[in-house]
Amino acid sequence: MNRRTLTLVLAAFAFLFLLAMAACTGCNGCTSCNLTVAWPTWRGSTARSGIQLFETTLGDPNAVSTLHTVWTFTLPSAGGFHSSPVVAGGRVYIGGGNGIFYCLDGNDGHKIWQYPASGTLTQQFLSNPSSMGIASSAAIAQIGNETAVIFGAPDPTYPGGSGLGDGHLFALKASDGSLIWESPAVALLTGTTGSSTTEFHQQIGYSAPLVFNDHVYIGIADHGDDPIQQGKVISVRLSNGTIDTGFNFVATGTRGGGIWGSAAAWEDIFVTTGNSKCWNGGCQSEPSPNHGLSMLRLNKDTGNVIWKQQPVPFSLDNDPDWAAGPAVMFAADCGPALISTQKDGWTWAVQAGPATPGAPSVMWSFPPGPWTTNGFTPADGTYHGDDDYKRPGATWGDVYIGVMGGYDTVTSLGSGQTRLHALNVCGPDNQRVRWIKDIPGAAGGWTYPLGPPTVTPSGMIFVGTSQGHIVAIADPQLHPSLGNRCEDPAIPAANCVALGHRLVPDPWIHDVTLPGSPNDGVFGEPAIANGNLYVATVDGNVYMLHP
Amino acid sequence: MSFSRLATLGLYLLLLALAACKQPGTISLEKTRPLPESVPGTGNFSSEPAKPYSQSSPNLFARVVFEADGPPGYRVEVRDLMIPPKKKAADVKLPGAAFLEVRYGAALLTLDGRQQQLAMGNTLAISQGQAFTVESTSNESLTIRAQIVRAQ
Repeated sequence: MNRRTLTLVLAAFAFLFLLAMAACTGCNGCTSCNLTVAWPTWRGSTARSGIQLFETTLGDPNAVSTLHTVWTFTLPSAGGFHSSPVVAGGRVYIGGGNGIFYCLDGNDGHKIWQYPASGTLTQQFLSNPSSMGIASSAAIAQIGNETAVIFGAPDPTYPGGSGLGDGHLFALKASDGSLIWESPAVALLTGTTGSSTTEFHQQIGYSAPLVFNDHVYIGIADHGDDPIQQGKVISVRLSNGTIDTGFNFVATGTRGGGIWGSAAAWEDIFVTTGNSKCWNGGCQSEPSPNHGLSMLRLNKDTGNVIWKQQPVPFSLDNDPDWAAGPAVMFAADCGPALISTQKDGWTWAVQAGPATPGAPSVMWSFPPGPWTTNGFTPADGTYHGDDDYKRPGATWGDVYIGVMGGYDTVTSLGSGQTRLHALNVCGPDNQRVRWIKDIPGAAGGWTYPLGPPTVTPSGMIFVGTSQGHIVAIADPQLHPSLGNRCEDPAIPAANCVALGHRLVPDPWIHDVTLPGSPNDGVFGEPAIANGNLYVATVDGNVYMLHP
Repeated sequence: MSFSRLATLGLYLLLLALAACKQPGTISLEKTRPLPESVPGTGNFSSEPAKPYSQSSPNLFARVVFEADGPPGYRVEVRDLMIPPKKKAADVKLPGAAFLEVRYGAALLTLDGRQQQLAMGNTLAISQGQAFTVESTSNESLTIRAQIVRAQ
């Protein structure tokens, strides 16, 4: 080996070594690493997968058994939290139902700044918790050299606005909370007369901004179907907040198809849409186009529909909004998939790509059935209404974990709301269920018994409940299960196999009761960041938990 | 230094660096593995339904999901019937007149000597005291919801 070759080889190894060490130290507490181990947006990423890719002690069942509350931040005024915290740079960012956006110190919970400094971001049409102050979870982004935090909120003081609280997007400097830009109105509120079909009752609500490439996408729905509005996705430029009129997606030709959840991204934009038939005080004939009750792939530049999966036809629309929003799953054995549970409790998986116009490639529905490809029919006896399955699931390898109806949904529509299912995404129908877990502290009722689950790389799942519990569930790959149960939760285990079903594991859990339980419920997701959990509650507390 | 020695040293350093990364706080891309199938008959059943199905006759499992007084002198009941895949339940009798609806699976129902194929969503009325035979014809368990009215 001559000197020149030797030098090159040495340089190559030195570079690789430094690269590996940089990656390593970058994960272990330096300043820049805080961003990489952060939870920078709703569901942790633009894929809305609900997974924290960096392992910490939160993946260790022994450590999780010692989870406890380290600090609490309490809202100074009423409104509670219906958004979820995002975490970056050692700080926690969250909007309150009191109409104020907060930046908290991740170490001790003290307030660093708030926006606005005075006044509130509220609206005049109060329908349900989605209309209380700021219900939209934030997203961290880079605008030029500035780290920014972006969120959606009503603004009753915007010059030239209705004064009632049109919805806007805001970009603030993460460092001090000063305004970088505020978008023009993206959701119009021109009156507060219930059922009015001449006023605009649009709102951002729970939809979290999606920062993808150089744009920010936000879904628009309505105020409690009073009445339904024309659902749409608005795209604004990340650099300055102006609306990109080259992107245009409306869900229906008249009204309906609200975007209640948050858009996901992978190559293009994915959304799910709400009902388009009836509302408080009226109904309409089928609009044209009708992209309601669908999971769609939209061209990221134009908003054109590339394909849609619409399993519930207009004739069966009894308000099963597809409100959960999609999760993009990068399954090793069956490719990029798009998975979501519709409000009727049925879960659907379709291939996320390719971007070929036409019908999507449906992978499966759960429960399975002959309607997988062509959707439901009026003759099949299935009912598709508002059964409150509205929460997105988490993806972990080839496993999808979420709140869904399961096998029991054909006879007990609501029985799955207090239960998590883990599904083998790439397996056959008869091996779909990986495990089932009934979650403690999750009361039924009209509201959301369980929040969206989040997961660590090793398979530790966290979920918040309506009675103020944080429950950790260990996939049986991580910790031995407590025993077996039938994959159809209505069937006793002893009869399970005889009735053509499988026994599946009943996973180990650790149940943490928050200080405000049982009245202080968790509506949103537990953010997993820097080895901590950050959760917000409906009575207005943000908790940091640590093993 | 020979190339092979250099390469060995380089690989060692790389492995050292990567090994250091496998501590808490580092990215992990562990693959999810299929779980072993649970073995029937081993017990250790950890969770049971609040309204469980129980076997009422060969190949017929049932549960009562709702029961209340109806019009004066009558009692109403909602009962779910489940038949295993490809199995037949013979001489099924319900405690009153019933309205049957197939909620899941497919069935071949024999009533008064006449056979009927039933799919999801299909319905059928049964008179009080009328016996029928029902067979699950699909690879999934058949679920039928029976809404029963009987005299008290």
